[in-house]
Amino acid sequence: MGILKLIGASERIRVALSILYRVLVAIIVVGFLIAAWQFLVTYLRVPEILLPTPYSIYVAFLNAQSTLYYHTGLTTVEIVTGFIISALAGVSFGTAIAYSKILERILYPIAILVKLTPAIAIAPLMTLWFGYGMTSKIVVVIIGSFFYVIVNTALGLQSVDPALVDLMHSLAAPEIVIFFKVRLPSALPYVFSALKLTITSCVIGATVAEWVGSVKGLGGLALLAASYHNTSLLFVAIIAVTALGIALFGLVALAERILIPWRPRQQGAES
Amino acid sequence: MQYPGVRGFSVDALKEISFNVKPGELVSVVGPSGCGKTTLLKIVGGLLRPSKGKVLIDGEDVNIARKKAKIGFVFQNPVLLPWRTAIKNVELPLEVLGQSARHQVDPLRVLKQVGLAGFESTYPSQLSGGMQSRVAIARALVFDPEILLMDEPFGALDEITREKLGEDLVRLWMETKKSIVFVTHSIPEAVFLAQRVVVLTARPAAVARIVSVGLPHPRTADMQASREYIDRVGDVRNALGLSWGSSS
Amino acid sequence: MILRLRRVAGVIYPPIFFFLFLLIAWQLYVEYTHYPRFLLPTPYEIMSEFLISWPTLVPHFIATLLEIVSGFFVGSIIGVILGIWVAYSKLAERVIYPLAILVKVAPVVAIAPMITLWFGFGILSKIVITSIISFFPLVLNMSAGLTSIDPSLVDLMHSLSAKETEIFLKIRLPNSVPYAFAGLKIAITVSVVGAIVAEFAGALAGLGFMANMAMAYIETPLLFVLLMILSFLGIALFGMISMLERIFVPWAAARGAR
Repeated sequence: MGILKLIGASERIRVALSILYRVLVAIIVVGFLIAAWQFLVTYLRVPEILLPTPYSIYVAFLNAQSTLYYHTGLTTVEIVTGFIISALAGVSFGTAIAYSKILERILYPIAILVKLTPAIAIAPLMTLWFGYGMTSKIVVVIIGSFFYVIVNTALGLQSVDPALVDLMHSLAAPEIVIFFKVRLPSALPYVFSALKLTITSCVIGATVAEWVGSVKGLGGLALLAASYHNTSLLFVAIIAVTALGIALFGLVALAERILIPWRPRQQGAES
Repeated sequence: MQYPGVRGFSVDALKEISFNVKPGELVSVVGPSGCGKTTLLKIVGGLLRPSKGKVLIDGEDVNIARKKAKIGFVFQNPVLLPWRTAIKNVELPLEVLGQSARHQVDPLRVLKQVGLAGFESTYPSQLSGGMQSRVAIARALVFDPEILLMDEPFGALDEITREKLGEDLVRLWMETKKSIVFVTHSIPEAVFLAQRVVVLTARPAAVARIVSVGLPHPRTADMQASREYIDRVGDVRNALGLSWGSSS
Repeated sequence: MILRLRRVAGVIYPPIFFFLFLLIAWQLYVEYTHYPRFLLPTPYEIMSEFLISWPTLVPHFIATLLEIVSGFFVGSIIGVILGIWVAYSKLAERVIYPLAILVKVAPVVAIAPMITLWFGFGILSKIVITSIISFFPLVLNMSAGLTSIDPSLVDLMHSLSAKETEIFLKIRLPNSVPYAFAGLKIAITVSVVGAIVAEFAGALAGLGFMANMAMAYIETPLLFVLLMILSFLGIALFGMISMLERIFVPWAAARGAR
């Protein structure tokens, strides 16, 4: 890095190159790990059922490609539909709670309580009600994230800097203007916090709901593969779900960057 | 005590700085924002190593003096441990120093000295900013160091509290006769509290001037109207390159 | 004291009334519209089911509880230790930190079928899963707690010639306690979810397993009972950790953080 500073490379190029460097190192490390994996499993004659080699996973992937895309698509639709509905409904309800004392006193404690319960436990009931199709999975997804979004939206709307509201009042702004210009933007970081947290549980929710009742979708595929002891296919399914989870999270983070460009980066602990 | 030449790092934080502090003297250091006052104080206290030069306390190297618990620090931010009560916070240096703390002051007495008698069992979160600063000072005094190094200790407080704490500090100093180096960005405060004012230039800092304040201690508020005071403040301002309006 | 009780009561009244109102409305609705009982049983039926079948549920309750708690303990302890390591070792930080973030983002439970394949349908596979889940929030939170110290405080310790072990014991460790508890609260919540999910992936006992059975046999009242028990379990465990937090972090009471 000192070298680059010496040749007077601009700040941007230096940052880009250092990121590139890190990525390269990461790729090399991962590549090395995969190679080691392949080598160890073959050399130690680990049974296929326990731990397949990267190569056999790759083969399984090739063989299953078309069905894989189908199942991935299915699960993705379940997740995305549920997530969007949950986000919209959650924000609406959260707003309602923030504006109505009555609703707040009734619903807020309930929402917090429900937030603490394992939403996933609902899956069997939903499957009973809505059948083995996609609907039950979507409902599970919605229930999983809905309350989180409500709580955070209400919180965000209420924690607007009172000085800002005073400013708006001093300009005789009507409530609706205050809402869109001040409250909503203040609440967005909170909402997105909730969204980022819940997207992962939505993915889990959909996948697990599929375990409970389905043979379709990535969850269903995984369970099927497991029951046939087809470990390679199981790995493929697991990797696919993980990739899906990461990708969706990335999308939400991207949306956050776009919609909240002013947000300072945070790190460290969460609660 | 003397602090010979001192210099900064790859970015020159400080230029040649050299000054002495006599035993029992109250010296203030004043300079524009970012000139390196804090860096200087840390070097004086042995927390940072100067790239050139050294710091001697009573003829011995500062690091030796530090191990002998001769230096007390008070920072801008009181940094009290939130999980300890006031008195436990004051006791912290005693616990850490163990044997090296040859002179110890009873924590309760120190708290009384800073005017916080009766607040021993309160938590920092229950104390006001001014009170927290007092606890920080008490903490620095509890192991009876020969020198107190203070980095804008009243920086975060309002004017009235600052004045009160400044008076308390001087009173404490007269009782305990320690050497104090007091960094501040307030010129009036620097002149009013100290016997000598070290004026630093902008970064990289060098000693612009050392102004001796000829007013006797204990100083009273009416001295702020005296000729000597106004002239000294003017001297400091001139040294900092600030004009004084109509010249005298 | 009385005032506080009154305040707490004031918070509880509305949701309780609302809840009771819901229950009554529910009961009347199902009875009045002759709603198919296998879809929506009345609260009364659910209660009766609970009173009848709770003895049989006890072993399953214990199984699930065991899975959650053991996994939580193992995962938390390992998480704390690794958190300390990450705070002190650049190498550990480079390796573990990105992994922890990855796990936070990726659906860890997806590996459940694989774990079940490896460790069988018994309790062990569930404990493994809950351990893995609990472990990461603690690594992240613990290392954050150990490192987010005001640098002036570190300077102060240095000016007193304090050794690193002393700084660790007197400053870093106490500072990290609130962070650790935040992590523990997350860990217990995800452990509960993890245990249930693990049972869905293949089990022989436990409340999640029973839920699956109840669904297959269309024993809807039983399903509701199980749901109640599971919710209660999740809330109770979280509540216990919160209470522990009150004991171990008394100085945060003044802040009133949530």
